Amino acid sequence: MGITEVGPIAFYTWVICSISFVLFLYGVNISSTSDSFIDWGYLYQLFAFVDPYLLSGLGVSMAIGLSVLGAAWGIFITGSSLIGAAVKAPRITSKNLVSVIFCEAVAIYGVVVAILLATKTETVNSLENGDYSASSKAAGYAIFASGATVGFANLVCGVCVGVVGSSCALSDAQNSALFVKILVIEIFGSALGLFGVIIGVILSAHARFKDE
Amino acid sequence: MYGFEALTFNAKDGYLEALVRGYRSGLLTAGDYNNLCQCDSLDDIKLHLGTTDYGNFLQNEPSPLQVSTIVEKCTQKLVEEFRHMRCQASEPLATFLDYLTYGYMIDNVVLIVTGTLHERDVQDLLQKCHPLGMFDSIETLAVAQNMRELYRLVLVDSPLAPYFSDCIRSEDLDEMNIEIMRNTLYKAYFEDFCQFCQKLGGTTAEWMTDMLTFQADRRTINLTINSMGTELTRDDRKKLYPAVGLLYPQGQQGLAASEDYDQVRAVLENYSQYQTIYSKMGFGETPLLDKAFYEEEVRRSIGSLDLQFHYGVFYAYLCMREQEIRNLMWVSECVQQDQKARIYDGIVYIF
Amino acid sequence: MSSNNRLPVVPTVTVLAIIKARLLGATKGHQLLKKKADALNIKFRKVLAEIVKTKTEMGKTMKESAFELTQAKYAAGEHIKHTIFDNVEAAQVKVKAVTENVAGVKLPKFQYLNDGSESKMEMTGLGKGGQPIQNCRTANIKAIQLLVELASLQTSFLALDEAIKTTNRRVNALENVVIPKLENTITYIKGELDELEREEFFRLKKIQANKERDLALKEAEQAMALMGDAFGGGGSGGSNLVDGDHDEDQLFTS
Repeated sequence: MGITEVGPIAFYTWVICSISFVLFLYGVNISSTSDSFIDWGYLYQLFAFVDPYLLSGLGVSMAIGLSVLGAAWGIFITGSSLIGAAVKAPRITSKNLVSVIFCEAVAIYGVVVAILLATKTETVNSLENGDYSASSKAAGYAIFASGATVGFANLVCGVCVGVVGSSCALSDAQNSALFVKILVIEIFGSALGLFGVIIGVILSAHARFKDE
Repeated sequence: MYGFEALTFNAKDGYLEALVRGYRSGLLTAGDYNNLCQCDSLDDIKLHLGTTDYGNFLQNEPSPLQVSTIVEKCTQKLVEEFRHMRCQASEPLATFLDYLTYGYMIDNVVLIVTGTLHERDVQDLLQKCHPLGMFDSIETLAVAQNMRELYRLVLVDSPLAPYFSDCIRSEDLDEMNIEIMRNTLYKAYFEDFCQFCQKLGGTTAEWMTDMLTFQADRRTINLTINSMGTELTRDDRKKLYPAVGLLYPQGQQGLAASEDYDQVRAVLENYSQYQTIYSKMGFGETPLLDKAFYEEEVRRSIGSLDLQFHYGVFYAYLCMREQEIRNLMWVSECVQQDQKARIYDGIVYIF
Repeated sequence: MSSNNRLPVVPTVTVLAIIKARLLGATKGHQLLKKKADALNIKFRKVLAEIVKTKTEMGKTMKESAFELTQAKYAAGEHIKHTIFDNVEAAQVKVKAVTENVAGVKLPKFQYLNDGSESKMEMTGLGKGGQPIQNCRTANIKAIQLLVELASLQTSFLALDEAIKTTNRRVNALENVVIPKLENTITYIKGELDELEREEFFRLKKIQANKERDLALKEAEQAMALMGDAFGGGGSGGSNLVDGDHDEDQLFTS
């Protein structure tokens, strides 16, 4: 049952990860001149000068990657239940493909947004000091945020549609009157991903690498 | 991480869960039972069953149909379905399904042991065994001449070995009453199964603990009632109570000391969950608790279908199927014996 | 007819006496057998009534016990029967055969014997369904008791039936064959004897008649002689009267 098991191993992993993160922060700070244990100013500098292309690349890959992960997760949750339920009630297969299609739609959102974000990325020259212009930086952050929003929204949406779709398949097999009712719930679940997509599109709408 | 089974459960067990729910939809409904109750002969019953999920399973039976044939065929169907699921199952569901068969296994071992002690023919004994409780080395069970040999040669390799070794000392084996042995094994089985389900965690653990609690308590109450007036002493009785369940340990103290139904009832009244049970126990008369227990079992089993992504449905399905076989047996017997008036006394409607 | 249905005997008084004695014996035997048949019949009716009663009860009890078995199976599962079959040791209930004597007829009778030893079975179904199993056991023991009783009654019934048939056959044989035969024989013997008597009587009469005729003839001759004397000095006559009595014996040989 993997994820449901919070055994001692998981606990120790958490402890070790947290300690190493703190040590990492400390290690970063050793090179700074501050007296405090963690030099927040220095850390800000570290992140403030991240290349906007890295951020936009991350954004695009998260948008598509997490969406597909969510869609795939949803499809296997729905699919395995669908196959099982269809053994005794073969009539449900074609109807319940709708659930799979809903999951698939989540991946399509991800693809659309990823293409949108990818087209936003343009080449600009860096400034003399090696930094990028404010608009480039903003665009990088916007694309990253947009990708993360869409990715996570679609991941969770995909799982949600998958679980509901699985229940839909099971209940349709027992009582076909339930199909439409559960489909409505599935539509609501599917809409969750759309919220993420909308926000993602709005976020990235004004992203421009080039100064106009 | 309670409730997060939804994310991972279907990777391994989604197909089987859906399948078992599909099987469940093949269970007879109240309408079917009403039709069956109208039957005048076993052939009518056969005809009616032909229209249900059972299909033509009685088609090739010779015409004077026996009740035992019906029961046998139904059991066969259940066994086929169960074996199919067992073949498809991956761990830990496979172990879970194995656990479900241990109860039958105990019965089979006890049956063969009894038969061997009374020098019956092995092949006959094997015929009588419940098909769900078969294990690889069961044929060799009868090789042994006495209990000690039996344990040393055969039972060590069977899944029941830990129950034997934990609860029964080899010097006890020879003169132990066979029923006490059976119940000692059951006790060990319950405790082990309960532990296993706790380890599985999540909804499975929650629902199965609830169900096993009920089963253990049912066993405890049955043991108490059935051992009244026998040579079983209070301490012996207490030793047979499973160490799980709501009644453990306080209720069991009370039950161990009970000598009549009123005392049992008084103990049970402290447990409001069992109100349906003890309300059936009249004051000072012999109660027929079996149906009340079956009803409660079915009620709980149906509850398992409201939850998804847990193993309880498999157990529930087994319980409901068993109940259905019992129902069919009852209906057929009533029809055959012309006891129409009592036909509704035994049926526990599942749906 | 009378000549057919009678014993081949010589019709003499001695034989008559013997036959008469036999008739007496037959009549007495007939009476006794009739009484026996009546006694058997009374017993027969009683057994029959009891059989009917037991059978009705039997039907009910068997039905109940069969249903108790169903209940036990319902509570403990179909497989409980194997457990019980394999646990059987010695029979707890036994049947003892004794005989009863009714009017000289030996009737076999079965007695139900329960050796009273509580079997190990009382633990059966300890964890599940023990109560209905015990109920089933009690109900079936009751059914067995009735069965034994019924078997005993049925056997007596058959034996009685047989006995009654033989007795009736005997009674009928005496009544319709032996006694009429004897009676016919007696009638026949009596008839024959009567006939003999009548013949004797006739013979006597005949002799008397002959004698009278001879006497009359003689008297006539005497008279003639007397007249001859008177007219022709017939001294030839004058026979003695006493001589007239002296005559030849007549023998009838036929």
